[in-house]
This record gives sequence, C-alpha cells and structure tokens, in this order.
Amino acid sequence: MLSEEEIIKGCLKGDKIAQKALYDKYSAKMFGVCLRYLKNNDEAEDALQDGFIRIYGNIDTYNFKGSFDGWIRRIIVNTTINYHNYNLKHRFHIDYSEIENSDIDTKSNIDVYSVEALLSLIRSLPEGYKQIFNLYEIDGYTHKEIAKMLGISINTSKSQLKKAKNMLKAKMNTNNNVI
Amino acid sequence: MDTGNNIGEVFREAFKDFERKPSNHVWTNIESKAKAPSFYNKLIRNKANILISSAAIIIVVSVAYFLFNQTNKQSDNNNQSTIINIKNYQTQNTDNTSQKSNKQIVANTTDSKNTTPNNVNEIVKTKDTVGTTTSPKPNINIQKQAENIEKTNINSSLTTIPKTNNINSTTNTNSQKPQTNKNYNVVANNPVDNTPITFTPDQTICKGDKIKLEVKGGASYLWSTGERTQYVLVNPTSTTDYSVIVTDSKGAIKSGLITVNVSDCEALMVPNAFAPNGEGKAAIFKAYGNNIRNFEMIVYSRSGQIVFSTKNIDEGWNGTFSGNNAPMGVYVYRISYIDQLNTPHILNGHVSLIR
Repeated sequence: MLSEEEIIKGCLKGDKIAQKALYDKYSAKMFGVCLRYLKNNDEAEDALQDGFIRIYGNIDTYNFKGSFDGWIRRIIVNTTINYHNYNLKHRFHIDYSEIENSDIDTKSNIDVYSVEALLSLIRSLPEGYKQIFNLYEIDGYTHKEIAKMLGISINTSKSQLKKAKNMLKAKMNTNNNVI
Repeated sequence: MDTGNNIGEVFREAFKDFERKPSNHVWTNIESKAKAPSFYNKLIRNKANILISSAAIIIVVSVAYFLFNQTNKQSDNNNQSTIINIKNYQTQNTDNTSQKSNKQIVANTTDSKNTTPNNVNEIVKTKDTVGTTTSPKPNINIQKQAENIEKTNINSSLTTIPKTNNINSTTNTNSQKPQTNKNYNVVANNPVDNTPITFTPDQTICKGDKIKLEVKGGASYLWSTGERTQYVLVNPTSTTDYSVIVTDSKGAIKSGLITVNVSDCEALMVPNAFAPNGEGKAAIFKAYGNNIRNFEMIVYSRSGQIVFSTKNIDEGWNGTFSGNNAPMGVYVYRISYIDQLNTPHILNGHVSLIR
C-alpha cells in the first residue's frame, strides 16, 4: 500500500502503479461526486474518466499544502461542470417561477430517505439547480465561488439555490404522500 | 427553524461518506489515456521557469563549447607521428585466396617542435576501397588514425620526410603535407583484372516494395542472402545492408556493400478528434506527414460551410470560425497531397471537435 506522498510522486513520474493506487483510493468517492452532479451513470463515468486524466496530467500543480482529497475533489467538480457546458442542449435557464417559496416543514419526513432516494431527488433537479445545490450545500462552495465557476451572478446563484431547495422540498412531500 | 438550511444539512450529512464503485471499464479507459504531467505543460504554467531554463541551457552550451575547444587544441598537439599502413592485396589464381600484408611506415617530420598542424582533411572511403578498385594503379586512401599509437608498438621502418615534402598518393585523390607528426592509414590495392565491376548504388524504397540489386561485371557471385545470381530481388522491411562477393574471370575477389534504406511511406496521419480548450497536445487539428507535396486541407462544418482551409501541412485548425469558437461536434475534412513517390492522394474523413 503506497502512502499518499508516494502516490503523488509516482504519478508525477507517470508511474502506472501509482496511478492505479490513486484511482483505487479515490475513484469510488469521486464517482459519488460525479453521480450527484450528472444525470445518469454514463455521464458520471465519462466525467470521472476525464477528471482522472486531468488529475494525472496536472498533478504537478498540487503543492502539497492543502488537502489532496480536496484538490482532487475540486478537479472532479470542475470537470462535471465543464461536462455540462460542453453539452449545450443541457443548458439550464428553465423558468421555474411557478415554484413559489413554499415553506412546508419537511423535517419530520426527511429522516426516512435513504441515500439512494436523496440521490435520485438531486438528480431529478434541473441542471442549474442541481449544480448550485451540490456546490453550495454539499461541497461547501460559497456563492462567490459558484458565481465564478458557473459564470453567473452571485444573486442568480442565491436565488437558484433557494428555488432548488424549494423544489426538493416539494418533491419530498409528494413522494411522501405516495409512500 | 429555517427549513431551507435544514434540508441542506440532511443532504450534506447523507452524502458525506457517499461512495460508489464505478464500472471496471472506466479504469481501462483512464489507463490508456493517463499521462504524467509533461515538461512542456510545466514550462507554460510557470513563465519564470522558461527564463531560468533558457539561462541554464545557454550556460551549459557555452561551458561545453569552451571545454570542447580546449580538448581539441590538446589533442592536436598530441599527434606525434605519422603512420602509413599499406595493405597489398594479391590474388593467387590457383586457390582463389587472397593474401594480405600490412606495412606500417612512420613518417616523422624533421621539425620536432609542437606546432599547430595545418588543417588536413582526410577523406575516408572504406566502401570504395572494396567496391570500385578497378584501375591498373593502386589506390591509396588515407585515413586519420583515431588513436595515438605509441612509437614502441611500431616495428617497421621509419621514414623521415622533410617538412616540405608531400606524401602523395598515386591517384591524386589526396595530397598531404603534415607540419608535425601525424597518423595516417594508407590502404593500397593491387588490381588484377581490368573488367570494371560496379554495384547498384545505395537505394531508398518504401516499406513493402521490392528492389533489384545488381552487379555489373565479374564471373561468379555470392550474396549475403545466399543467392549466387548476378542480381537479387529483395524486399526488406527495415533498412538492411546487403553484401556481395564477386569473383572475376581471373579469380580475383571483390566485395560490395549495398544499403537499402526502407522508409515508411505511410505518408499522412490525420487524428480523428481534437480538443481546442483541452490541455493536452491535441488542441489543434492538423495532419502529420513526411515528404508531402501539394498539401491542401479543407474542413467543413456539417452544413457544408468551409470553416478552415490551408495549404501548409504545419498549419492546423484551432477550432474557431470567424473569431468564435466553433461548437462541439463532427466536422468533415478533405485533404489532397502528393506523396514522395509522386502518387496523388485525396483523403476524406471526419474529425470530432471536443470542448
């Protein structure tokens, strides 16, 4: 088992064993990230693949200062976002203004959801909402960072996040009623 | 309580350690494409590096140049004696074997001072020695001895020549006038037959082609391929030397060496995808080829619009069209060129633009 430092140094030299070790260590976690940002497994696998190739090709930019996990995650997140931008047909800008701020308290119901269910809820969101919700709520980016990453204004990021959350809540309520 | 934050927390908590194993083919794909960070990329990222490395290169080159000059001067001064090797080839008709005798003559110039020698250009013609010695007088080829031979190793007679004397070869190919002691290798051949024997000169062919190698003159032949004919047909897949031993009517033996260079005439390589805003090498769509003439490439969009055209093989399309980035998708190209064997080609295909 290679240490993190050995893995990084090996990848710097293009060593196959180190590349595989890095993949084995992070692929499952990063695939989880890709799944949240993209709408199906195929897209997520494509993005994961591109992301790892980028990681190997740019590993010399990692300066051993911040957490390596965070550095990798950032590359993967950026890859998924680029993946969207490549596919213009998926461009968001769907007006979901019909979704009003419905302040329904869903706290009591949330606990019953499994990760799988939550994942499918996230993935059912429109692309823009999904990205912002993921970036802000789960991956902890600020609105300022999100605005820069997605090329939108900070206010758009804020309002889309709010709409995304409302939509999730609404979906959870309907699902609950069905169950 | 703000339910908005609440929902965020629920998801954050749920996905904190969320993992999912991707399918195995993902690694297969990654493995085939994974590259280590390239030196070029590093340079581009850090402009300071460019300055430092160019400065380092300049320093290294100049130091190397300086040292090289020093060494050259020294080695020139070390040349102390001139050695002349004479090889006599005599052929005996009875048993078809040739006898060799080597003589070494050390020519000392009368001037014993270490002066810088005149520039003597020695011509080394090893091939001609075996290939075309047909003149009635012996050829003398002079080769510079690479090593400095110590005097104690030389037992043959010493010839002292006045500094002004020329050592003349009989066939006016070389005329040497050493100012200090210098080493020479002189090869003399005794021809016995006046029939000229010539060999096919060195050839260059495309991979897969056949070529005829021939000897003119002579009576019997033995090729390195094992054949005993006057010519052979060969189709080497890589550059190959063919040797042939020729015996003339009087029994004299000569050998020739013909080099057949095999070049890859698969002239043009066109990639099938490129990524203008990727970080790798494939940022520009261009054809790669050698020895191409009359090259022309036109790239069309799917609607048939010309988005790029060039007549220079070194130029490529960077994925923009009238100042804007062309959208991701498939583009069609048409390439025409003439290869090194003067065969015209037209190549149609398509390339994927990936963003």
